[in-house]
Amino acid sequence: MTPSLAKPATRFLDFVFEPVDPIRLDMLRWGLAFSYLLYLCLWPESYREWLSVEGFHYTRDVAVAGHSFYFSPLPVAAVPWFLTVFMGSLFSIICGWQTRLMTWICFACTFYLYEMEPVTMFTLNKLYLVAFAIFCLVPGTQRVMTAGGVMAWRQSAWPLRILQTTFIIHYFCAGVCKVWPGDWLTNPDVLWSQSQGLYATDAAAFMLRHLPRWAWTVLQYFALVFELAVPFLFLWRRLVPLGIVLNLLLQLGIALMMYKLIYFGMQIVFFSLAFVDASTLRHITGWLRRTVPGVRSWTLRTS
Amino acid sequence: MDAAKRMASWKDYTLCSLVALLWIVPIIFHGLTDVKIPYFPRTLSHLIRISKLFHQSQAVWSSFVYQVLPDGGVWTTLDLDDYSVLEPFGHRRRLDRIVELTASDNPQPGFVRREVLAEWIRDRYQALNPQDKLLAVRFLYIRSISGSEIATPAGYWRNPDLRSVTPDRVGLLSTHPFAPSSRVEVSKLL
Repeated sequence: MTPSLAKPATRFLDFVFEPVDPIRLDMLRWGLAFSYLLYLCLWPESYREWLSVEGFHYTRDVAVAGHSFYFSPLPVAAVPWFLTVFMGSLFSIICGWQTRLMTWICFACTFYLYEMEPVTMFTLNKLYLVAFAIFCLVPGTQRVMTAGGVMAWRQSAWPLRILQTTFIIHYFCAGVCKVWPGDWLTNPDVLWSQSQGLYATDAAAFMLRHLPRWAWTVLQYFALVFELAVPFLFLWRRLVPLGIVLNLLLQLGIALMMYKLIYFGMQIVFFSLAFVDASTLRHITGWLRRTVPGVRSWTLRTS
Repeated sequence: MDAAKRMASWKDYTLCSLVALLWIVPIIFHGLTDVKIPYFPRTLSHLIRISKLFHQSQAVWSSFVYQVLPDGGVWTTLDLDDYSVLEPFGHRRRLDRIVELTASDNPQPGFVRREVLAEWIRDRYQALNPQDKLLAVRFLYIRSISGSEIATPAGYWRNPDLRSVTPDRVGLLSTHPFAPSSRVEVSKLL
């Protein structure tokens, strides 16, 4: 490699594999486990349809995209056991008990669902699957001397970088898809039309009755510009707080207007924890530890 | 390698490279080009489709109606609560999602998939109503046009009632008779 290329390549590798405070990854895992558990609690009346032979499932002869048939739906009697293990693993991750083992169990359960039931596997489910796969691969922490001369726990940054990159690519490509092959740039009524149908909540219906059409166009272009600007907002350190606030606003708006997309929004908002400065997270977790009884898992590895 | 700047073993380099190759590069490629990656594993091909969300305006919303034809009866709309209660996202049931996917398929595989679904509905119906024999199941769709019709509702989305929509908004996806002898009887009712 020529010296002119070697230097950026080295800097890039240093950035990917640098030692980082593990709190960001811990908080991200905690946040995703928390939002995932809430999401699973959404359908208590429908687990049997979703997971067991009682519901409709395709057969091997008529597979849909993504179907492998490595796994069959569960017998009805096995559903409570499966849910106990699955939700129990998420609860254990939240509590910081046997985190690595429970992460593997959670990943295995998510993978089973992904393969068995592609019909209800949306972006949200896919992001959980990939995130927990990466959490399974996270290297251990080591106690090292920091630049400030203090001993602290550190971890290779690469799993964090992968998840940060996933967040940025997901948003940016979602923006690109809206421009092409989508029509968000050429049609000012895209958001207005999408707010009317089967996703419409009471709030969306209220807004449809009271907001002028141009207001929908403004919201539409805000969302599009934000998605396309995500790489700048989250890669330029100074803009990260602005990016986090805008992300929160966008997801709040989606949650308000689109039925049940609050669970996706919650996941994406927790994903943005990967960009919060480690010292800020330590302040927040320290405050929580002092003020909320029983909160200690987030800071298990802190020095 | 500068040990102070990096914390990585060969295992970290290997795992990171694998994840980048199987996840990061494909989601960038697929997200920017919308092209299927040739020879890519099937499971991963499905997994990497994460970015194409609400990318186009929605001129028409389709909702689905499931009807059964009992022996000696007339076409009756099913109460979906007995068949599918899961609402994954939006005000639609899991079965609606399944039928929606078959409707966007090529016609022949879509029909075959609905045939399998129709047989499941028959079995479920007969478990719930053992006294009835089903001759056929059919799938209808109702088209709701975005704009003045549905842009100013009083509340959240509700599927339109088949009895209150005009015939031009209703279409037949497919009819699935269950026995050769019933085909003639069904054809009379179509």
